[in-house]
Amino acid sequence: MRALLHPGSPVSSVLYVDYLSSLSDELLIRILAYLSLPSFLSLAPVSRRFHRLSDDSQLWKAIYYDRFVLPRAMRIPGFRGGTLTSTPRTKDSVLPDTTGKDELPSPTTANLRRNRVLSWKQQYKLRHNWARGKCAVEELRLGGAWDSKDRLDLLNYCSQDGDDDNGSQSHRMIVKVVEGIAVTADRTRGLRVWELKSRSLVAGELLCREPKPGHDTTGMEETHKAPQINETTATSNDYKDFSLTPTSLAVDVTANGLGIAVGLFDGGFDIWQFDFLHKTLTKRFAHPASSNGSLTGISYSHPYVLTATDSVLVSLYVFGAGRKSAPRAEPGASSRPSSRLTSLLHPPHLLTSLRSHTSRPPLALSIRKLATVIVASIAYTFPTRQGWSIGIQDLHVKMTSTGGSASPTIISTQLAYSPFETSSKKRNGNANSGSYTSSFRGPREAQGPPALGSLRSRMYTQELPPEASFSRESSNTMPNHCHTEDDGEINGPTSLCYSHPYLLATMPDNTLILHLCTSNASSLVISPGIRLWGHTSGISDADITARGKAVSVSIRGEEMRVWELEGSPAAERGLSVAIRPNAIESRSVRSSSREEGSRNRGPDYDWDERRNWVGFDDEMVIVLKESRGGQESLMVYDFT
Amino acid sequence: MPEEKAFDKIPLQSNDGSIITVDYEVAIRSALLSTMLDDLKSMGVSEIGPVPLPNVNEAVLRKVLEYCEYHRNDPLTNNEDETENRKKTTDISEWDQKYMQVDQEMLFEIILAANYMDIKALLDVGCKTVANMIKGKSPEEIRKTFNITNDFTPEEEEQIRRENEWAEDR
Repeated sequence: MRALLHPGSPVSSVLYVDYLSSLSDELLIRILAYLSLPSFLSLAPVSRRFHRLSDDSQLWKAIYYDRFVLPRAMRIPGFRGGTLTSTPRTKDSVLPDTTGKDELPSPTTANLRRNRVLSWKQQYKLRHNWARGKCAVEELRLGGAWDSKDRLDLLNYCSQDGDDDNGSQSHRMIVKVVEGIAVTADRTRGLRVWELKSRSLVAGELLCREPKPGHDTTGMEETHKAPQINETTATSNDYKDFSLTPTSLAVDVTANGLGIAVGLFDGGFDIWQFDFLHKTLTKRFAHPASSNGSLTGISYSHPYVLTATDSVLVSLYVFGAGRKSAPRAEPGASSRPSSRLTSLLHPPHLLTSLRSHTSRPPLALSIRKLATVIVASIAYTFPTRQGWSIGIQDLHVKMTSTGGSASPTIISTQLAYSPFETSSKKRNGNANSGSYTSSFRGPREAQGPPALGSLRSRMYTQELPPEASFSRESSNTMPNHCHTEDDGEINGPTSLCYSHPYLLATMPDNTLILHLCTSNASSLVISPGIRLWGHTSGISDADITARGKAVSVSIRGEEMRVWELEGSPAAERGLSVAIRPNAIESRSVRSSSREEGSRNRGPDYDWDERRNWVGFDDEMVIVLKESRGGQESLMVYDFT
Repeated sequence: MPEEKAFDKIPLQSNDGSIITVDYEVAIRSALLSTMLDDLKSMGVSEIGPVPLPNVNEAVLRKVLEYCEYHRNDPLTNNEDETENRKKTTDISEWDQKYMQVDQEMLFEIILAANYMDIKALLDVGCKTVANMIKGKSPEEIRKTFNITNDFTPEEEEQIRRENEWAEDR
């Protein structure tokens, strides 16, 4: 074959021939791959073609790896510089956020739900902004979707019983953030679901206890008459009003919605379902009030619910265990869509109750599902003779089939505790052993820390065994005992959060303590704590994800820090980035954010604003801000 | 092996008809030729006529073969390995730098030929050379260097600059 196929290339040496643009996209991308980020970006405005090419996901992937993956992979012993080829497996195993070579890290269900997959460029930008603490700030008034009169009502209400201890606790709002959605709960406004991208309220239901379980039609209607409801609550002060105050909140992400568990002041809890598609909130179950005290902690991973009362009674429930019957027809159900009818849950089965005579709040509860078992973890603090320590108790629950129907059974219990957090050299095991009386009846015998005593009962309504009722009585007196026991108390953590394997304690001395938990079928170990320094004022809350990203926020002022705790050697873990709300970005978001951004940095900054809660997901940090008047709002820090 | 010796000289034919004969070691710098010769070998062919290279003219072919001749003893890199391993360094050896001191037309012809003939090392050098020409330049300077027509309106261009502002803070 001798045919001449040459397509007549430019023969002349004339100037002004654009040879570069004559290359194929493939070759241009090859060239672009050699460019560093700044040159890469200065190519984007050159022409439409280069703008398109500079968005190429593979190029951004390379840049992403260079900046965020390679430096960490280099720290792995045995990983030699530059030999990326032999280590794709290493990369994947070390970095849980990269599931495959060509897959984007963490395509979260939220993104899938929004039919939006972050490109590598967006992913890079997100990581970049997190790393620099750069974000847009926007304030989301929690009265947002309501009229101003309503907001006034809230203010009136708050100022009325603002000094009342009971009252101030009761109007406190709690928030959870998952997958781009914030769930808030408070007494006056009930349970509300916010979409963070659009900063809008998508669903809201009042928390009310119906005369008959399942008959929640009234609650639905009252949502739209909320101002009236607020007026009545504002004027009446009887206990009943506080009974339905949410005291804890847990969110379980499922394929097409969120399972929401709300722990209440009266010891009961509600299970709600939020539907992504229809944006509806449906109450699935209401657990009646209990005399064991308000629920200070709750964790929900369907069908399991783990609750803790302020007197440290921990209960593990499971829904639908060993049952197959269809839901009962509810009186109010006939008027509702059938999907809601089927979503109602039967009363759960109480798998176990645990109590402790020495452990004390703060507690952190978590449920995680492993391949074969479900691990319910209770992280708690307990006093030692000269200080305090953090303990974790893991309950391993497995589905075991008995007589055809599978029912969950606790197969083992594990216990671990951190080295005591005092200067005392003495291990206080002996001294402590006399102070707790609850016996530990798990298959594994506990040593050292006070275990949460286990009591089993078939149904929560059934009578309890004698020792259990003893425990119940003593538990009512325990909290007082705990809180006055010793001076070491005051040094204990102010809050705990546990997202396996990270256990993060917020300390009153402006630091955080990080523990790493290692857990397998036979052992549970808590590493010595690592102090995280950086805050210059009191930390009011912190949150951590299983990937080791933590956000902490100070009580006053604009101090918020991001901690990347994954993978780095212990010495580098103490590094954090203070979040710098970005004026440029907030300007371009929308007009309201501009006001907010400037106001927050202004000299007239309101130091009476207290930030007392933080939560975050991959893209945003939410801080609940409570200002002097009792006005609460959500500060949305958007890193995209 | 005698069979390998069968191909000790390879005649190559450019699209403008000239024939340049090179050593086997030089020819197999090109993965295109290397694969072809392997195939012929496995078929028991021992003699070969001029190999047509319809996308390369004589001047470019001579230039490309100059590179192959100089690098004839370099270890042959596995193509698959290279893609991931491609380091972001744009360092170019002294000889290669000199070799690449050609006008833009020739530079891009070399890149195209290296791509067509699948000469990985040469393609990389060519791409690095172009990358170095882009580096550190403003968009306007890049346009000037390569005679690229700006098909953006000033507003669009400004918007793109703003879009990318976030990355400048490192």
